[in-house]
Amino acid sequence: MRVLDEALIASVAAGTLRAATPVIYAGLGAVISERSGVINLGLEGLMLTGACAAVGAQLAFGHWVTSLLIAALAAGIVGLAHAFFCVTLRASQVVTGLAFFFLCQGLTAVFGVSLVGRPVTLDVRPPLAALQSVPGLGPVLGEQDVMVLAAFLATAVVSALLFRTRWGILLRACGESATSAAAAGVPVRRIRLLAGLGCGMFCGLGGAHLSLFYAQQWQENMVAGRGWIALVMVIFGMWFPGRILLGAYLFGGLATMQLNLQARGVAVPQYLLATLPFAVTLVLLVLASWRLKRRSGWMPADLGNPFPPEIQGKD
Amino acid sequence: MAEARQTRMNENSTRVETVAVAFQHISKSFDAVVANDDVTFEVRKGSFHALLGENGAGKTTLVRMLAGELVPDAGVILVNGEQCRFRSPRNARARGIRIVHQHSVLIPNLSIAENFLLDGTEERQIPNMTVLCAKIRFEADKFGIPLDPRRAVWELSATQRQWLEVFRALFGGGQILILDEPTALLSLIEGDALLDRLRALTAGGIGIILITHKMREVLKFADTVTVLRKGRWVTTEAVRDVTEEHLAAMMVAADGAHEQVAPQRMAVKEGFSKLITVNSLSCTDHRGRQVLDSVGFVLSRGEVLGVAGVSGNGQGELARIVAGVERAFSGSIEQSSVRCLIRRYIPDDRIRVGTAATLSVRDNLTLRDFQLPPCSSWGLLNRSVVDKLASSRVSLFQIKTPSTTIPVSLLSGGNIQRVVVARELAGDPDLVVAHNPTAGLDVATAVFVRRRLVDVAAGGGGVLLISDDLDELIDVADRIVVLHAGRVAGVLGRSQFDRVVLAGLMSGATDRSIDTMNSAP
Amino acid sequence: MIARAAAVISCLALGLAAFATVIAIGGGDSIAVLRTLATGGASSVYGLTETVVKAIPVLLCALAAALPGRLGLVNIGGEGQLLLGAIGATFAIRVSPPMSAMPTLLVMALGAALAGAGWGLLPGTLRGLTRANETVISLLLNYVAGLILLHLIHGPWKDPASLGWPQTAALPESARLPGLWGTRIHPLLWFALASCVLLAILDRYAVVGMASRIIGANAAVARYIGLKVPLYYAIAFGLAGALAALGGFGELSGIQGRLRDGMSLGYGYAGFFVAWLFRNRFEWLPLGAFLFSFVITGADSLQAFSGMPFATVYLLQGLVFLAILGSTAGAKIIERRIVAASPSE
Repeated sequence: MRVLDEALIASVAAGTLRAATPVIYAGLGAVISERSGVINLGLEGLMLTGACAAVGAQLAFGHWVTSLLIAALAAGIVGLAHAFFCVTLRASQVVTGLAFFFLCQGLTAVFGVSLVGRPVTLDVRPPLAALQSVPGLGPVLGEQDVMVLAAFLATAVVSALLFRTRWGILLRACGESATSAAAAGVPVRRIRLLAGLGCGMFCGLGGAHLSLFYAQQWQENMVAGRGWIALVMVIFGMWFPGRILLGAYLFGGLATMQLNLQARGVAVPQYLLATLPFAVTLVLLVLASWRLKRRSGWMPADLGNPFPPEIQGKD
Repeated sequence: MAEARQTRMNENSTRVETVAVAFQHISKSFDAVVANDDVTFEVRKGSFHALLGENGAGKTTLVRMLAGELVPDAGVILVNGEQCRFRSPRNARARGIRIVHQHSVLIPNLSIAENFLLDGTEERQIPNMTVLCAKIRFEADKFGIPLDPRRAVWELSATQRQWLEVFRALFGGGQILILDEPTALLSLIEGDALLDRLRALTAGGIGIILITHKMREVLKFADTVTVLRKGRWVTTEAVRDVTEEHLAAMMVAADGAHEQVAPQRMAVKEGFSKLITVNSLSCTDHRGRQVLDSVGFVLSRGEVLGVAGVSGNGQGELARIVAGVERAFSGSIEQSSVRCLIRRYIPDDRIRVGTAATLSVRDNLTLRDFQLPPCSSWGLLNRSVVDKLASSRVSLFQIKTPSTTIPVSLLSGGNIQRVVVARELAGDPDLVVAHNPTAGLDVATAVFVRRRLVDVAAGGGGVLLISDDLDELIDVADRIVVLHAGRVAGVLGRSQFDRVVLAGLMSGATDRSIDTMNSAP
Repeated sequence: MIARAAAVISCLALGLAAFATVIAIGGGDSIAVLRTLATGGASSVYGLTETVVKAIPVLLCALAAALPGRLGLVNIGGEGQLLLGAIGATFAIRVSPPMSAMPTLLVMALGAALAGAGWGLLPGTLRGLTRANETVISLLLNYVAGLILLHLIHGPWKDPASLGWPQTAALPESARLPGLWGTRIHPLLWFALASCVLLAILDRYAVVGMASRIIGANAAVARYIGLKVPLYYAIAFGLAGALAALGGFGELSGIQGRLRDGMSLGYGYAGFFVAWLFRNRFEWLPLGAFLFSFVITGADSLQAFSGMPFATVYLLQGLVFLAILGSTAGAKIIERRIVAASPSE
């Protein structure tokens, strides 16, 4: 019995890491954008773009690095376009995000027509496969693909970027108070546009992981809400990259649990279980919002505001 | 007299190499409003040059052009003899020009060191924060303000932030320092200390341009003064050659300066009932810091109770709590009457908080009335009644607007405030909370608003007037409560009104220590 | 004014061109697609009636988006609220005894409205109480609603006679909304139109309409003149949910005849788009809903005529959305003066 339990735990842990990865990447993208002052409600669409582009590229070229690059580039361009609408055209950030969500849904549905039903073969092995036999973490880490492991690195890098480099400080200044930053000579609009590009690229990578490594195929609307979950995880993590990991793992755990229980023949209502990640995300959002209502100091103060500012303040 | 002045000017201008900044025929307009009109004068190197004038004289606009934030419509600016066309603050900064604005531009959520990085003093991508922090700490100690650069700016008080702004301007090589009303948020004593420090800097060759409307500061600290009036240059003289009356005459426009509103006010009748009693009011801000601490006072009917204090000492929160807008506080506000008091609120941010900017003038004027008869009946709006009500208020309060259906945001600042006042003071309110009601208004509208507030009190209501303008409070209030650091520092009756005493209370000095610090202004 | 119209039209043209290009790259026949979308709805009488059929849920969802929209809130949960309506109506008929048509339909409508109102109240009240972003909440609830539906039709409500197809048993005759004039257009059409008219009247002439406008313009001001803003938020969202839910009821009872997957062709999102397009003005929504349904009806036959999936219409929606968004925003910049003087970079 103990062996079974261990195997179950390892399986769940491994599955958690895998399922959490797209959310981690998308969350990192969201942090970059929101810390610069632009809220991006099109995360789901960006992930879809990356997912579709990745599969298309893999089927066309067969090299995973190329596919990832193309996915990042495609989503990056869309992210830049979103930033363009919000920053240069000063359109409402909320409406722009939703519009891009619709657009990407349709875009990927159209481009993905020729990709549906074609499984992807990957030309890369899990890098830590040799560790499989190591007791404890071995089975958990051994089967993880490159991107899962790189997610940790990416989180550390983004964190360092935001809090220890000059660019990160400038970016955060734009998100805290664009007018003050501009008064100090910071190129606010340029930074926000670049942040949009970066956000798109990370979301594209997240989507790419989902389609290339996790599901290994393309399906219409396959991101299934992960983009929105990532958005909430950023709020819940109070815009700190490290804390996004927690939320992502929570999501990953819930998503894996359902699959694992089913595989073991436990009679569970699979669809109801599938609502758990969303329900938990909702609860987290409400908790975080309630906390922010009383102590709003954590949120980038200028988030959602166009620069230069409008006359009328909204509630 | 004028010729002597002109001769002095000519003498000064021939010594070009001593000139740090020269404004030549500078003009700037915003739409129809002329901010600067053919302004010409010079600032010598290493001088403490005051720029004096009333609100709206064009001082801020002028220096913003020097700092690279605005581009002149006409004229040239010379820095160290060279013509400069600054397209951005960065260009001006490259020339050693630094500006300290009236409102702090430090970013609260970032640390002090991070704020300093924004200026571009550190070019490397991965800055060595330890080295930077050590450097900042060292320089700050030298400047006279010990601080920990790793702390976030929001932890500092308003005074500390102001000093930090000045320090930041110098750190990284400011040669010409422009300060726009730096003592506006400081008490008398703190302000003098800052200006003293600045004067010491001029010995090292740094040029100071100080914008102020306080004559006292000019006479005490500056060596040269330029007076602007309604966008035009009036005079530039050495301070040792002028007197207060002379300067006052230069500053003031022909159509009357500070009109006194209250001389005809009678003392508050004894026996007028208490309106509200505020007990132990305390509250915290969104970071958990204590903003108000056990504030208590009594407001009577027929009284104008002034609240003085350096801005940022809890006035905003007090206004919102007493007006009934803010609910998160401890303590109580008891009212002495059984029925519900009609409370009205004139907020300090008239556009964002006082009006619904996208709605029409008519809608804004009737915001408090549309739900009740006769404006509505059986849940339906009576449009003609609403229109008539709005029109009557427009004429009664002399609001200049082409029609009542245009969005209220298109009106000028003064007229927007008239709309707010018209709406809030209509209908005989019991209690009116007014927070900086005349800030940034033209003289006529300011006087108008003050008169209306006094009328409310005369009619038996109570007015809580929270204001940064000490002159206004002294003019209009019956008693003044002074707030410092969220506490009541003192309460003065009309007979005790004294600028020095008030200044002392506002800066936190106790009654006793005021006597020893009572240096003649 | 003319400049703005010109900007919008030219951007729309640009959007359509982009649409055609994308189709071409994706391997489809652009001309065929455009033709199908533009004329599918009018190709026959059936096409026209189908347009009206689809316009009903779109209109109800547009109302669902516009009502909170007037208060400055974003309700993009029409999709989920509609599904909850269908679920609620199904539940109602499952628990109620057999009755004649009228009471049955009323009970179902009530069940739908209550379910939808409840679903809508979630984002509405949470926004009022905790400032939680109602957009994200209503959107997440869309996914949840879809999953609940799947659970029901695969599990407890599955029709054993359907040989494995995930759906409920067919509704009895009494539970079916009749079709008008021999078409599939059902009487909810009148309800939807009447709702538009009523809401438009309230908006213009009623005190609540004025109050809503104030809240939408500046919620802080609304609060301190005494309006109970969270209450307005909750009621608006509750009503919105009920309206969208009735659209679901209509689809269930008038069109599908049973609860199954794919009840909604993106009506919720379509409604949101229409409401945004017409600036939440109730009196314009019927026209918008009709226009949009016209295109959706055409999209129904996309698969047959051009091999492109139905989702192509989402692409068009997205491009049009962006075209109009971009052009109006850009025009505003050129027209309006920006208050804070900003330094050039």
